[in-house]
Amino acid sequence: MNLEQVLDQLKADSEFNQQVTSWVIIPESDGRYMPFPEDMDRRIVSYLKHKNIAELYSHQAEAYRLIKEEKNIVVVTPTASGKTYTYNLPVVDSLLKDPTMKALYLFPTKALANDQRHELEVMASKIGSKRLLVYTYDGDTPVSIRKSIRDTGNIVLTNPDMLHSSILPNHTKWARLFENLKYVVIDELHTYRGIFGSQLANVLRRLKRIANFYGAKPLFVMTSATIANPKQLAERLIEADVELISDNGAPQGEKNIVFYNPPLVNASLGVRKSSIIEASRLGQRFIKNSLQTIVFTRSRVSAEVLLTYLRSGLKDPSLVRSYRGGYLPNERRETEAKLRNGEILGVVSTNALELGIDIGSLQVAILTGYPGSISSTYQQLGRAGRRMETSLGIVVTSAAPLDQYMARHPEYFFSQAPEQALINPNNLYVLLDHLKCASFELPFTRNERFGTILVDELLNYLAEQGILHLTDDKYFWSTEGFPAADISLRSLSQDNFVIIDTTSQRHRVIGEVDRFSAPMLIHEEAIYLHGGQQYQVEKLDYEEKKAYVTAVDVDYYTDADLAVKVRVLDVDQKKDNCCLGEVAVMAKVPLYKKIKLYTHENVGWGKVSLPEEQMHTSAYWFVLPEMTELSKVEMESLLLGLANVLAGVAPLYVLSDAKDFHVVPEVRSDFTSLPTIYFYDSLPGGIGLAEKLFRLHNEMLDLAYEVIKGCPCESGCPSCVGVGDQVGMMAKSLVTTYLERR
Amino acid sequence: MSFARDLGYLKEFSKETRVVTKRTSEDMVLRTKRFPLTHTHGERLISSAKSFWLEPLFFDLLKGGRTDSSFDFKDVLYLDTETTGLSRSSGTYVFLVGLGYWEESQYVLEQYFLADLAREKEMLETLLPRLQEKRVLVTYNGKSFDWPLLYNRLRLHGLHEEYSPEYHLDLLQSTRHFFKDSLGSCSLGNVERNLFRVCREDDISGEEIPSRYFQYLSEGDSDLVEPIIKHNQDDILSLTLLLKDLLLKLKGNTERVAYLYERREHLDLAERVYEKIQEPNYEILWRLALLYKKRGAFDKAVPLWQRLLQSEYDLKALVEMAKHYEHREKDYKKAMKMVEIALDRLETRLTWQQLEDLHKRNRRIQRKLEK
Repeated sequence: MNLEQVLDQLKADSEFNQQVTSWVIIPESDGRYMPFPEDMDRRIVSYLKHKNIAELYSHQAEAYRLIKEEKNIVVVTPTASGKTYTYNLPVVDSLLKDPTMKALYLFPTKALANDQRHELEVMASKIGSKRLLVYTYDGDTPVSIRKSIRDTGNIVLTNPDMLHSSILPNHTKWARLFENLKYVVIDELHTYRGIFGSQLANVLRRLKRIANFYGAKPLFVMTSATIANPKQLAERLIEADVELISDNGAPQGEKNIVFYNPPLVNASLGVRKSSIIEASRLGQRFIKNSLQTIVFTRSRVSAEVLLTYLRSGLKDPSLVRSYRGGYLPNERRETEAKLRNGEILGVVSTNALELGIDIGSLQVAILTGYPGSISSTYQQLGRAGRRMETSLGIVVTSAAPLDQYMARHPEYFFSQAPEQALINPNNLYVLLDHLKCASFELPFTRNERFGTILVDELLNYLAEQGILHLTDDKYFWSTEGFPAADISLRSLSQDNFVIIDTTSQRHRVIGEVDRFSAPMLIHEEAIYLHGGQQYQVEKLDYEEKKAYVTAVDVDYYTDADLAVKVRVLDVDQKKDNCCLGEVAVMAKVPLYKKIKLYTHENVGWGKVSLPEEQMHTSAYWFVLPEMTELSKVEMESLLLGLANVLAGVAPLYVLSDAKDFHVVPEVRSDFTSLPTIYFYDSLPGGIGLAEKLFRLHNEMLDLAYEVIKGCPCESGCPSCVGVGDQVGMMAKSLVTTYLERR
Repeated sequence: MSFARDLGYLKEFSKETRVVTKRTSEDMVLRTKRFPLTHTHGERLISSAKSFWLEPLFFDLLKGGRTDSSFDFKDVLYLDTETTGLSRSSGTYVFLVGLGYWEESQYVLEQYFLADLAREKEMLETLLPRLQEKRVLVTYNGKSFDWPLLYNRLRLHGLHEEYSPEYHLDLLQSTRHFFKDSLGSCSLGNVERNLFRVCREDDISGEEIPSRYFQYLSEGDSDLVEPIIKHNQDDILSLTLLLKDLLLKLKGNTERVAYLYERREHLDLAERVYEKIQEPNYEILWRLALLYKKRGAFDKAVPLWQRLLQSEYDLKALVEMAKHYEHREKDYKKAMKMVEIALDRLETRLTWQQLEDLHKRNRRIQRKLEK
């Protein structure tokens, strides 16, 4: 059956329809076109005509015009709207007119850069220009050809990490590029949010500084998926005016967006069928009809669990693969290729595929659980239905409060603007790190600005530390080290743990886990899932950052919790019963649970003995009044319930990845001496999430109230304050009363 | 307190050398030291490293590229630097540049010391005329370290177009070729200890250098850098002696030089070196003939094979000649003759396979003869 037939079948399927809370059809739309710009090189025109492109989409023509007018731009249009032409056409045209010009393209991943190089190479060869040299420059680039890339490349495609750790510190070797740098293209702008975005903003400050040293002032051309504040994000990243292009001129096929809420198993407890099981059941239905389907999950563990479920129902399990961070690059490349040529019908992914890697046209996207943001949801839904075909996207909501809110109020999803992407380029930790790198690259002069800010105070601090040496009004790098080597852009604590399979005589590395997740995912006795195979962690060498695993076959997986203590260091702002300030957070994983496959029941637990991690970050907290009428147990219940529901709704306000912030309730806080709930940024130094929530405190509590009132359960469920036997049977009414009287 | 204002370290210098220290600017110091030819470094007289002829043929082996000109010792500038780290990125400073060169009756050492980081441009500008004056730069590992770092500094101050070495000989690799078996480690320290019996007193380790320099910058105590300056002087003097030793080694081992060129596929150079060898032995003639053959110069290869056959009948040469007559001259009789000689004279010494090949060749030539 083709997709249209399957859609008809679904519409007639009453069992399916009972669980559908919303089925929105976005009709197909015609494109808006503009003729090719008159000044565009004829060779490009004939190349496009050869590809059966007779006109440009209106947003492509607009981008071309603005770039030629020397404006920085950001283009925000959906997946498959020909976004790459918005920068490739004007850039290639300029390079054909002046072959000494250079362009630097930044992609968040190596894979994207490789994709784009391929496209540009084809274009260059079809145009017949031998002078247009396109190279990727990343960790995989052989040393033997690096010099010629540096000297001859017209377009160099790289990633922010390489720019940070290799290109900028070695700018004298890249002098030819910097002297002639005309364009900096930043693709997938929306990925540069939170800590990564804050880091990139500083890398760009360094880039502009170096370009300026060589006498160049590049234009910035950026593209982004849908977010609420693309212009603001772009302007904060490059610290200059940016023109926004958001009017999509590309035609679109019909899109079906379905919110599917798994059936209630126990109404009074609010227990629903697992979204993972429902998603795999739906997935099998499409795959059996040979419809290419992608299933997104929110975590690595659930991706692997889902893969196991999906495969178990198929005659040929190799038709489905998983794809996520933690796989080695060649494994990922192979999956991408097999998706493109149709050897694979299904893929289970974490958000790794949200990025615009070209995997050809998938027809169905299933989202296991609401991804946490409107922006991500559109991104993931957008993986289905490239190339103007009809497509289907299903959001299978989980029991989490935000999911249930969305299931009950789908109109909220469709009416609301997507979230804002926040960055904080002036996070002290981030800023200091990049000031070191920048000083290493070129000495600062007194009163010199870094981007738009004055940094003398920080430079003086670094000079006091002996890291810089101040002489003749200049701050010289005066340390032997190479600062960029110790600074990772992706998180503040970078070192990954490697996972080594010791099942056979020959040990091999099968994957990696970042340091922050390591205590939760690869503590000793944890079950680590990779490619559908279960491995048990036999030994975790914390010092060496290695986990030794052996393949096992068990009927459970493991899940570990984080126990957290918060200590207030400083208060910056106060408003009513809320405070914003600096905190120290002590985190430790005390134990893990064994969860049975399919039934998801708790079948045991074990201790985890790993050292406590400490970090400083920004937090907001609010106190509840002393309520003498409540017992201590009731107070605990109120706080736990309130914390749960708030943790569920807070992501509505900020575009944040899961676990970018944490909520911790304390019955009697050491600092406030009152019942207190803390929200803290989970990255050292913070990226502004706590601050944003601090300002939205009242709105957030209003929404929490609405969620609880709208929840059909009797005395708490995972969709509101939490399950009764964990938070107490009174939690729901206590929280409701508190929110009403507040 | 800066380096220039405290020149107390100068009193340490030996009486036989003349030292002039010039404050070229506020905080940049140029120290010039003139060594008489009787000066000894380790157990060697400095004069023993003087008076050599740099044959263009050896240039490539010393990583200096190709040239047809020849140079002598007066064209040479020995260079060694001290830096604030091993990273070749832009944040590593070259704070001491040591240069050595020959004058008629003395050896001159110039050390350019950066006493204040803010005076780097002046230091480089002072240094440039000397660099420009000499055509051949000689370093130890300078191709991958000293020069790229110095280039970084020049580039940063926009001076990179003022100088780039015309010929740059890096002795590290050849030293490894010729001394690794006898010396083991080819660090300059180990080389000078074994070859020149240099015994450095209170020498500092390379790792210590950056932190000492930074400490000097913040404290201004020139005692901190004095050992670095001495260290650099010793390196330059050793480098100076080493070039001469290496040249002698090359001249005494032309066969090996040619072989190294062959291994690097620099066949024209290999050929030229073989040709220069006086009284070449059988092996050398054979290899040279093969090189001629490879590039199709049979007019040169054939006489060599013939020459080889005059001294003794050798299978390889006979076969080559047989091929030559058969395929190129189409003189099947002569070709047959070669094969017959081989079968006649060498039969008892040949392996079964070699005999089989000869017979095969024999039959083929026979058929061609009968046509």
